[in-house]
Amino acid sequence: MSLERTAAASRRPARFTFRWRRWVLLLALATVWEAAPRLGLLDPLLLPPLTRVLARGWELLAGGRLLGDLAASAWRVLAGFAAAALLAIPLGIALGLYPALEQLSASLVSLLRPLSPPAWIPLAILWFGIGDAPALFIIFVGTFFSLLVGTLSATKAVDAQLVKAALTLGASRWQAVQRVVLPSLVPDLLTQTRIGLGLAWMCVIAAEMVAVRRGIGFMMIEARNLFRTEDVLVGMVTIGLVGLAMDGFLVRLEGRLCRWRAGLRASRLYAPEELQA
Amino acid sequence: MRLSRRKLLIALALAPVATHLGCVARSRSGPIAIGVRTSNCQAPFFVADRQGLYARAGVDVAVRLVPNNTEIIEAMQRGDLQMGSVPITTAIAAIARGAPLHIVAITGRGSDGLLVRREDGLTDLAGLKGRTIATIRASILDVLLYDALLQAGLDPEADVEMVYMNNLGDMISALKTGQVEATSNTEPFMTDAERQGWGQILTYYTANWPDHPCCVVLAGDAFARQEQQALQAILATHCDAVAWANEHPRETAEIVVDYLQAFDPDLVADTLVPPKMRLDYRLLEGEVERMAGLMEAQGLIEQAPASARLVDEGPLQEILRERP
Amino acid sequence: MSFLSLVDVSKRYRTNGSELVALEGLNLAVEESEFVVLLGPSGCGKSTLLQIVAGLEQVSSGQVTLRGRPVTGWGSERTCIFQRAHLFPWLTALENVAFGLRLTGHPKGERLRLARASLARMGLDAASALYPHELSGGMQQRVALARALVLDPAVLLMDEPLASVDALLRSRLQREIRASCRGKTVLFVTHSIREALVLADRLVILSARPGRVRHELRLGGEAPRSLSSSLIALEEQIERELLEDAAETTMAPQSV
Repeated sequence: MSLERTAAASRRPARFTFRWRRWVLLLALATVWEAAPRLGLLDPLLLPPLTRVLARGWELLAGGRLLGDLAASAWRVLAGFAAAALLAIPLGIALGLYPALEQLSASLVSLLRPLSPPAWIPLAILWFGIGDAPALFIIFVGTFFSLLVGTLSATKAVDAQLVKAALTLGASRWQAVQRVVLPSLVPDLLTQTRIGLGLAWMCVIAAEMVAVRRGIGFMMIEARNLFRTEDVLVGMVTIGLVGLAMDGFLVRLEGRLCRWRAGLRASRLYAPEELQA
Repeated sequence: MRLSRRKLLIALALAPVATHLGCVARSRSGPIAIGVRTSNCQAPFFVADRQGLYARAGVDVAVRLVPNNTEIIEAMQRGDLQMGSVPITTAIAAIARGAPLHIVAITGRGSDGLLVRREDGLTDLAGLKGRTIATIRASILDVLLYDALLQAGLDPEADVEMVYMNNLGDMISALKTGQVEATSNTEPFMTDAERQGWGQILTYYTANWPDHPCCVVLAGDAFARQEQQALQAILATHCDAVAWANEHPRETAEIVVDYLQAFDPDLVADTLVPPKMRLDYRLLEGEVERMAGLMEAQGLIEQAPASARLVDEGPLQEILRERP
Repeated sequence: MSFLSLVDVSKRYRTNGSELVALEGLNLAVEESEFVVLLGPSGCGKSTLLQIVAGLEQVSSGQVTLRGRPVTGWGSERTCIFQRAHLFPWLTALENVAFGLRLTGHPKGERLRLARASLARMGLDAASALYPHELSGGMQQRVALARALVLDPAVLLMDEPLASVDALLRSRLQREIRASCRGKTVLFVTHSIREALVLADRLVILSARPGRVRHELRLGGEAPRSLSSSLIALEEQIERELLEDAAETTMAPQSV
């Protein structure tokens, strides 16, 4: 039986195999999404059929509303994330290099980290008023702690032997940080960026609960209040697609910058065809 | 072959989700659950619950406090609640989208208006031109504000700047700190602000639409069909509770404060009575349709549902027939 | 005054309240261009000794001098080769070798030229553009050696560099190390008696707990030596010595 399967697999063109594999799960879910509400298995008010959602999505897109909202949210996500990254990454590296600093800040970080973004809303309004500023703050806070902790552990995980090697080659402490620690961190920082951007998108709804006039989150909140479930789903799908696009870009960037990372892919553990995913 | 096996697995995984979300007819057990918002307007429910009026009427009822309107509707969809009490606009929006519910009674009238800061010295709506107003998008506060502005000769899109927020308390804070210049809000927040000295009630929307409905009582269609007796009994209790509350505002206020764990009885007692607000159960001719019409005009719903779709007066009429 | 000298060097660690003496009153004199091999059982402090000379550890007491001047901290005049190559994975072999030159501000053209020359001397031209993960373990060590040598250090410190290399490759690399380190002052640590006898100009045998010089042996003939009966006999003798030493220390009470 397995012999036939491998024979069949080798006959089937490789490209068809892996592409089929990637999409089959999505197709199955799409089928269920369309069929279940129409058949009454799921309440259409709680989950409208896929085709209706897509039709509504097209309406919103064609009307210009969707792109405008998307642009407003995307700029908040990128700006909030950038602010968090600019603060959290250097701080995380510093805490990683100086254990004393880490100990000083550990309790504060542990205290603040579990607070979910919506919990910060009252404070955000108080400190920043209404409009874009508190929204940016919410996104900032939602991503900051994750970036900080991630950068911190990545810094602590930098191969100390590499640092030692650099020192014995004549590097000063600062040169060791610059030429060994930072390059070592690049792949981990890219991973942290992917995680951080994902979190930033997740914060968008909470962030846009605070008095903004445009945005995907705002659109989704309004839609929910008016029981326009299709709009809510259009918003979710849009966020999902944009998040996917950003992530894909970062993965490609990581591939280009981190070709030196051997990792699992380079080992002969998996057949090359299986890896083409 | 692999394809069908995978699909089977997915179907199996989703099956429990489907039965949870599904509106396959479920046999109901346990008390009849009524979801009510955490607001003044639901005082009759608090009174009925506190005084055991439901039990006296022979029905097993659980009154559940829910802070969010949309959640009440969603819970009714799921079958977690059989009845609900929400602002009329929420009810109309849900019915317009096909929710199998009907409005069977109201709970209160009035109570909504515009709050400004005393120091700004505004005297009428016209003074709002060019200013920022905080409101909750697509809520009754929004619909009535829009209408009031139009009647005052202002263009809500161009003459004022709307700031959409999600929370009554946040809007009060925003007004207090001067981030907005007015807020469309409700009692007892508005009188509370006046008592604190910084707020001033510019107008109540009853000035434009006297005795406008505020919150309504909803019954799920399935529940209304299957348990007519229970619905009657609950509505009868509701009428009694409203009558009692109107006669005993002070005691009612204390009950409300106890349930909401907010405000003080003095403030609540002050805001439960005319001219600020009036607890009532009667459905007046055409008022629901009028509100639906406003929502349609403002683009919040595509089309105002037919009267029969919105309101089921049957149960309430039954009860009123039996009373003088 | 010898080229590199350790005078009465002691190193004590305090761990969880008790004190561990790694080195006690150690004296060692290394002449210029001498290939000195430190041999001893595990725990005799030979790696600690190397770390101290490298400047990565501080002495508890005593002094280390190089060319008459005391050693403080690390520097490129005392480069290290470790058990693993520790090449920087994001740099090619060439860039790795040029690393130390870049630290001292050599202009790009010059440092790449010098790096290329160093790699060529090791026979590794073909590997210049390859990344460490594309090189075998043995090649990586040779690149590490090139990286250290290009800086023309006063002393080369090697901490069991061939410990993780297979036997076949080991003798070849032993020859390569001696060839490329001709004329250089080297302090080489190993736990293999045979390796020590093959490579050393002078053999320093350390005893364990606490670490101190037990025995020094100047070896005749040109290294790398080939196996001869006399070499093997010497190996057996030293092995017996080390076993006695081990027996003594396990029987003696722990000194605090």
